[in-house]
Amino acid sequence: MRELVIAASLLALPMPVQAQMSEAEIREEAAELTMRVEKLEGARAIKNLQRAFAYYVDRGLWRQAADLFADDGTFEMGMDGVYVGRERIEEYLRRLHGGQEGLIYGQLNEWVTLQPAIVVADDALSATARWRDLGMLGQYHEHAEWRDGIYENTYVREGGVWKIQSLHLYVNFEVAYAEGWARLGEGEGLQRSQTSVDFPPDSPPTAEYVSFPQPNIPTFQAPHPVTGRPVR
Amino acid sequence: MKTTMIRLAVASALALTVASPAVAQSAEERLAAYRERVERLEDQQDIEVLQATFGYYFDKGMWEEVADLFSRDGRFEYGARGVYIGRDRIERALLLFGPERLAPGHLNNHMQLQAMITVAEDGQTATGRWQGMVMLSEPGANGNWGVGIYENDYVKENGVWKIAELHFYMTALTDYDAGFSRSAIPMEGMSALFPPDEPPSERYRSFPSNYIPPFSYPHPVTGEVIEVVQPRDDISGRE
Repeated sequence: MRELVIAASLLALPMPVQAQMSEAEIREEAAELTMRVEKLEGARAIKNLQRAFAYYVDRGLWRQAADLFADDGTFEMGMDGVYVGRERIEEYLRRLHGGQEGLIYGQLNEWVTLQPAIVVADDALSATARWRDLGMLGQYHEHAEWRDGIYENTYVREGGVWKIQSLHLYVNFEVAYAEGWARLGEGEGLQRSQTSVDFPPDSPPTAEYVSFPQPNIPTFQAPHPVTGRPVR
Repeated sequence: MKTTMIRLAVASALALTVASPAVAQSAEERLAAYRERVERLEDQQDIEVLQATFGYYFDKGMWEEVADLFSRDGRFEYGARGVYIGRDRIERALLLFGPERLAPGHLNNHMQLQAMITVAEDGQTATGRWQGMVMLSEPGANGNWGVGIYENDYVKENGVWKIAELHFYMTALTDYDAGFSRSAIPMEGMSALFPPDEPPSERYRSFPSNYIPPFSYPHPVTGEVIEVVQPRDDISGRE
């Protein structure tokens, strides 16, 4: 009996790992760890990708901004409808900002992009993210605006490189700096841009838009992080 | 230095792109590869915390704590104020932004947002671009809204990430009441009271000028190094 107890306690002693894991087990865990590292790397890459987009648009680098999209990537902002593919996205962005390369003297165009909630798929080949948009826009001696919005975007990894698959900016309001959002009336927070009228999108808006002062909750792609349930 | 780092970053981006099959690798090689990938993730995390902490200290006039975030010969350049070099010089220069730990009526908020961090392949240096919204006030004056870009260099000394060079490019600064359509406040120049060690590394004007702070990182998808066209400036002489 005593020998049995001693033998059992010996078994309980931590053994060096080499002695316990078979070659196959090591391979299996290594493969699993690879996926975990790839998901972490993916989240990092997507942060850089989306932030690079904002830094390019801020300065009027339309081509560089569009080059962040996948071949069939889509861009949808406010009520303007969906533009498909890098060329269309580039031209839409250019026209939306006056039609020229870069910004002009006195043009303010800060697309501050914050608060990422990134969910990378388990295979680390696609992802979704929600971001907050805070726009500081205007033209010196003419106008200045604040913009508030939410992005719900998707990303894809092609040939090891993360790209934007779809960018969808739900604009909550765009309002004159001097008036401020609290004075907005019904329907004043968001209008279809003249650019979208003159240079029509490839397909109509994918959502029904309501803008501030009406409450407006862009659909969540990601499930609730604690309960795991879809959010409606 | 910047060009070298961009080249390294491109190389590392390419290296990551080519997903090497694990077939021919020994266990040791695989482990080493993992170690590097995890270390690069840790580096990015550390730098994000470092720069965020800079903001939290800077906001509150904690000048000694701010200066201690810099490497031994670290460089600090804010707008057109010129370059201060080394922790002691930086700490004194920070008094130009307000008294130690601020004082009633002083608001010095400098948000550190939208980090774009690129770590060199060897994990010893890095660059970061940040979006910096600014909220300022001084007693007896109107508040200010501001916005700018940080383009910083970082260095790992004895395993600890430090700021090697902080460069804040003011994009626009405005009077709170008037707003960006009516007010564009020019940047402060070099202090006569405590002149910098070097003049500004770049001559440019903030809003309404449309100057572009150069990009430290290559395009994340195409790998292109971004060449920017700066606005003409008669006084600084830029064509």
